[in-house]
Amino acid sequence: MSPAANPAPAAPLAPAVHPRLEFDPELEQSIILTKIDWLKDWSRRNALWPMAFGLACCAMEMMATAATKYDLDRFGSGVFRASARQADVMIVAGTVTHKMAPRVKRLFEQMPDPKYAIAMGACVIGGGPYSRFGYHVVQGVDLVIPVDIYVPGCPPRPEALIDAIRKLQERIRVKGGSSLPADDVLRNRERILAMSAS
Amino acid sequence: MSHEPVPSVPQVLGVVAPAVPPVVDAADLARALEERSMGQALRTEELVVNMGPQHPSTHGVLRVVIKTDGEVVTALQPHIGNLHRCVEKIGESLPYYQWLPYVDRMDYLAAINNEHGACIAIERLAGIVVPERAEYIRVILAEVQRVASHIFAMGVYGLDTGAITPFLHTFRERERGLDLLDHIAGGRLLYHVIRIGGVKRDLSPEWIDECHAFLDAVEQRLPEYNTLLLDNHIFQERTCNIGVIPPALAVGWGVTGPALRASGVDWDTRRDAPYGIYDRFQFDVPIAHSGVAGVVGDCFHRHWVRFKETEQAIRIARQALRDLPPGEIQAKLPKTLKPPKGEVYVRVENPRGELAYWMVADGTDKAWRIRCRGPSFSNIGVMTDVARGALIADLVALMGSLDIVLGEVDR
Amino acid sequence: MSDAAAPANSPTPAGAPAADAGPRDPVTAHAARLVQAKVPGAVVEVVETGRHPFLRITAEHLVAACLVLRDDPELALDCCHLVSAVDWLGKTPADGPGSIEVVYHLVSYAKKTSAAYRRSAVKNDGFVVLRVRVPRDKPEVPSVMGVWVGADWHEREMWDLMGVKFTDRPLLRRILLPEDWPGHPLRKDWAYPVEYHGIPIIPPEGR
Repeated sequence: MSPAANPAPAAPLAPAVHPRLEFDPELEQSIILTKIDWLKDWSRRNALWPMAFGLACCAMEMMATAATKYDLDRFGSGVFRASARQADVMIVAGTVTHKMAPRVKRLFEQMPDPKYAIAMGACVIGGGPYSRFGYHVVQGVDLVIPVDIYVPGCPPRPEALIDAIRKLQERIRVKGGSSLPADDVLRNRERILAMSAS
Repeated sequence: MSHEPVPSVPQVLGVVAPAVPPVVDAADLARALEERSMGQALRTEELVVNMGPQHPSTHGVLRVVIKTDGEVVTALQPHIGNLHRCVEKIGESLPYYQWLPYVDRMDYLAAINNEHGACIAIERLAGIVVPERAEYIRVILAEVQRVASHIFAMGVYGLDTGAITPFLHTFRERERGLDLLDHIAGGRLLYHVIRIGGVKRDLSPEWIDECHAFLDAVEQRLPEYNTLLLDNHIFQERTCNIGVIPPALAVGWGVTGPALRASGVDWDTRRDAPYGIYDRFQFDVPIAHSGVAGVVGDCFHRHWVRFKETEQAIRIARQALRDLPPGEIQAKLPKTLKPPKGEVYVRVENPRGELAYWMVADGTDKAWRIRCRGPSFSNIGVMTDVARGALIADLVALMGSLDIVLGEVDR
Repeated sequence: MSDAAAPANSPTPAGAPAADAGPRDPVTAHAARLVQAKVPGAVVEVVETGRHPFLRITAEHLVAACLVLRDDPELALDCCHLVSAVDWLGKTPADGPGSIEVVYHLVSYAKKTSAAYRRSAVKNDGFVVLRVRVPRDKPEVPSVMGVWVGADWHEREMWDLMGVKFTDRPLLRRILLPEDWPGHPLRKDWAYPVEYHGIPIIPPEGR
C-alpha cells in the first residue's frame, strides 16, 4: 500500500530485557516466606518512587499531581527520583518519539528490579492524537518497554494518575511485586505491524 | 606520560626519610610543590558532559552537550527534536478545524494563547469577523492563561535554583486558574475552547465572579512569592549577573517575550503590533532597567519581568471583564471552511515570546502549508553564545530563566 | 496527506492572489525600492498589496539583499523572525518537478510601526517577506547565517524537514529528526517508512 521508497535503517531497537526470578514451589508453601513476601509487597506498593520522566504535556499534570492540591506524597509516591537507579516506577508522561525511544529503553533498563511502568496519557497508550499522521511518534510506549498500567486522557487528570498509582498498588498486592516479562514488547510490535500490513 | 614512582611503604611510613627540606613559609611551599611535580605543568582535559534528555532541570526533553573545563562551561550545544510531533505535517493532512487541537500541544503551558494565534490566522485567511463578546472572552482567557503560565514559571524556577517551597505555593494559585479554565473548556491543561470565529462557550456570571476572586488571590499572593524568591538574597546570588544576554544578541537570535524585555528591548506585540482587541486596553510593558538588582539582561531580570507581567495581565483581565459586552460568541461559518487561496503571517504574544503562524491556503479545506514559529526555539539558540564561561549550576539557572517549553521547540 | 500526483488545485507559486488587491504596504514598497537600487537584478517580483506582500529575490543576490535590508537605518530589519519553506509541486505532472520556495520573514525591533500604520487596512505588522524560488530537484540557497545569527537553526530545520540545502555555512545537519532518518518529511511526495530501528510506523492509510 504505502510505497517503501525509503530503506529502514539497520540495527533494530531490541526490547528491554529483565529476567524473572524463579522460586522453588516448595519454598512458596512455607508460611514464613509467605509472610516475608507479603511484607515485601506491602513495602513495595506503599513506597513506589517514581522516576521523574516527564516528556510533554502530561508531565505538567504529573507535576500538578505531586503538588499542593493533589498531593501524591500521601500515597508514598511523592519522592520523584531523577536517577533511574533509585526509582521503582517509571511514569512515562508525554509523547515518546523515535528519537527519544532508545533513551526510554535505556532508562528503563537502568531501573533495578522490580520495576513498573505506567503509561500516562493517550500518546503513550497508542499514539494518541498523533496516531494517524505522526511519523516521528512511537505508537505507544509499549512498543519499547512493557507497561503495567495505562492511564487514558489527554492529559489525564491528576485524579486519574492517582487512580493509576492505586491500581498499581492493588496489582502488587494481588499478583505480587514482580515486573512484566520482556516479550510483551515483541508481542505489541507484532500487533502493530499486523495493523499496517492490512 | 611517565608517572612518578609510587613511594615504597618504608618511605611513606617515615622509616626512611625522603630528602625534602622542611617547609617554613609560602615560598618554601611553592618551591616544594614545584619540585615534587618535577616542573611538569598539570595536564588538564576538557570534559564532555551530557545533560538530558532526561533531567530534572531541562524543562522537558532537551539534551545539552556541554564541554567543561572543571565546572566552567567552555562550549555548549543543545540537541532538540526529542519531542517532534509533526504538527506541520498534520496541518497539511487534516482540515483546519480538525488541526486546531494540535496547536494546544505545542506550548502546552499557554494553550489558550496558541489557539488564539491559530484562530486569528485562519480567520484572516478566510475573512471571518469575530463578534465583540468573543474577542473580549478571548482576551480574558488569554490573560488568565498568562497569569497561570507565569506563576508556574516562577515556581518552577524556584525548583531549578534549589527552592522547593515556592513551587508548592504557586501551584496552589495556579490550580484555581486551571479550575476556571476547566469550568469553561472542560480541560485543565489543553482546552480547544477558542474556535475559528469565536469561542466555544460563554462566560456565566458565576465564572466571572470566580475569575475576579482568582485575580484578587494571585495579586494578594504575589508579594508572598517575592519574599520567597525575588527578594531572597540566595535567589539573587543565584541569578544576578548570570546569563547576561546583550540586547543586540537577543534580537539577532530572535529572542522574544520576557527574555527580550529583560535585555532592555522595548517591545511587546500586544502594544506595538496589536492583534484582536488588545489596542483597547491600558497596560504597562515592563522593561528591565538598571537599579533593581544585578545587571540588565541577567536571569534575575527575566524573572522580574515575568513577575511584573503577571501584575499587568491581571490588570488587562480586569478591564476586559469590566467592559465585556453582550452578544454572540461565535461567527456564522460554512459547514466546511474553505479559505480562498492566499497566505497570512500572524504573530501573537505568548507568555514565552512571540508565537507566529505562516499559513498557505489553497482553496480546499486543508491548508497547503502551515509553519509554526515557537518562541522557545529561538530562545534556546541564544544559550550557545551566552553560556560560555558560566558554571554548570549557572547553566541550570539560565535555562530556567529562559522558560522554554519543548513542545513548541520541537513542534 | 496528498498522494503522489499533485492535487489539481495546488496553488500557483506566485503566492498572494491578484484578486486581493487593496492598500499598498509602505514598508514593502520601501524595501523593494531599496533593494532594487542597491542590488540590481535581485528583485524578480514585488507584490505590495494584499495580506501578505513580499519581494521575490534571486538566490545569488539573497545575501546582498539581506545585508542591505538589515543595515538600512530606516528599515533596520535586525531580526530574522522565521525562515520557512514550502513545497510547490508542479500544478500538473507536465509542469516538471516543480519548485520549493524559501520564505524569510524579517522584522525590526528597533523601529516601531506608527499608530497610523497599525490602524491601516494593511495587516502585516511591518514584516518584510523575501521569497526565493529554487527548483525542487536542486534546492540550494545561500545561507543568511552571517547576516542574522538566528537564521542558523531555522535553516537547519528547513534542511531537515524540507531538504533545502543552504550553502556557505558550517555544518548543515538535522535538528529535529534523528541523523539517520530517511528523507525529508514535509515534502509532498515523501512516503512514510515502514519502520525505524525496529519500531513500526503506521502509514496514514494503514489504520
